[in-house]
Amino acid sequence: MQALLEDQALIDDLIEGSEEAFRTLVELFQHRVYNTSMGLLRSESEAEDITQEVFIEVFQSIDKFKGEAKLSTWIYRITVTKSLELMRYKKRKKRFAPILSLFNSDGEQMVEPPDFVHPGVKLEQKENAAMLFGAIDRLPESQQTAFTLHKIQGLSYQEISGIMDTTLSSVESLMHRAKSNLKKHLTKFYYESR
Amino acid sequence: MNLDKENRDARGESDADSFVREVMNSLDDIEMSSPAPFLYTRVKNRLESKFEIAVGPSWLTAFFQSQWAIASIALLLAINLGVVLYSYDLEDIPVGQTAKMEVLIDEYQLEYTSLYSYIEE
Repeated sequence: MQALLEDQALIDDLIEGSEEAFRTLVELFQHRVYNTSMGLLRSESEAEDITQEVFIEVFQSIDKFKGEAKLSTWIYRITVTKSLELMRYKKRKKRFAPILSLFNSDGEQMVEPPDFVHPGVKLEQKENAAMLFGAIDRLPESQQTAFTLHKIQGLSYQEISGIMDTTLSSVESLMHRAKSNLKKHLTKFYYESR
Repeated sequence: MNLDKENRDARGESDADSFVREVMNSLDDIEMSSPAPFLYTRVKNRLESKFEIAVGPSWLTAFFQSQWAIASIALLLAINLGVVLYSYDLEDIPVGQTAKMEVLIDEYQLEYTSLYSYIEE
């Protein structure tokens, strides 16, 4: 209840255009936004860019926030939407890269980024984490989102259902399928790399 | 190593299962990382530049908010009004003044609209 009241006070100040309230909002949510975005995009520079975009969007549309969900849920939702938009754009670009390269006189090639290692992963887990991120990358979008929000952000299934605007049972199903697919990919990888 | 193998055997796990479990658990103790310092300043700058683009250049905004805009619009209206009234006056020249106008036209040879018509004459 206290948290909801604090949310409302912050929202009221933001609607009034308080710079101090905006600064508080950025400081409160920057880690959550940045880490969620980085979990989905697997790039520090893109996560930084999306983080800035998210706060600009929040500032510009705070008056449209109806208060039906928690402020954090709304901000997570914007973060996930923006990150997925960029992911789709990157996939489209990658898909058309061979065709585009035919018309590109520079002969410029698209460079595949090296295996992503999240800066928050412990040193002894970096190799395994890189493999896991590689497997997550092959999951469908909704499974990636649910898995990332749960594993990296540590959010409950209930919170994830609010962010993804779906039911609790759907999130449970998404998580079950995500884990099952990841196990399949990793087992295959294990036998192929022996 | 033997201890690991014994643990796996106790769980009835194959090497592949053990590999998958270890990889799947690799994000368990992940720590939140921070964006580069001064994020707020960068967000604020980006927001301001976006707002400037949306509103237009600042000199344009200042112009439309100043008394210069009102004065310019008033001047334009006055010029337009003057032109309208002047053309209205020409159309309604009193009959008495027509003779004077004709003398003026003759004197300044205003009936010729071009050099060719003057030469032909």
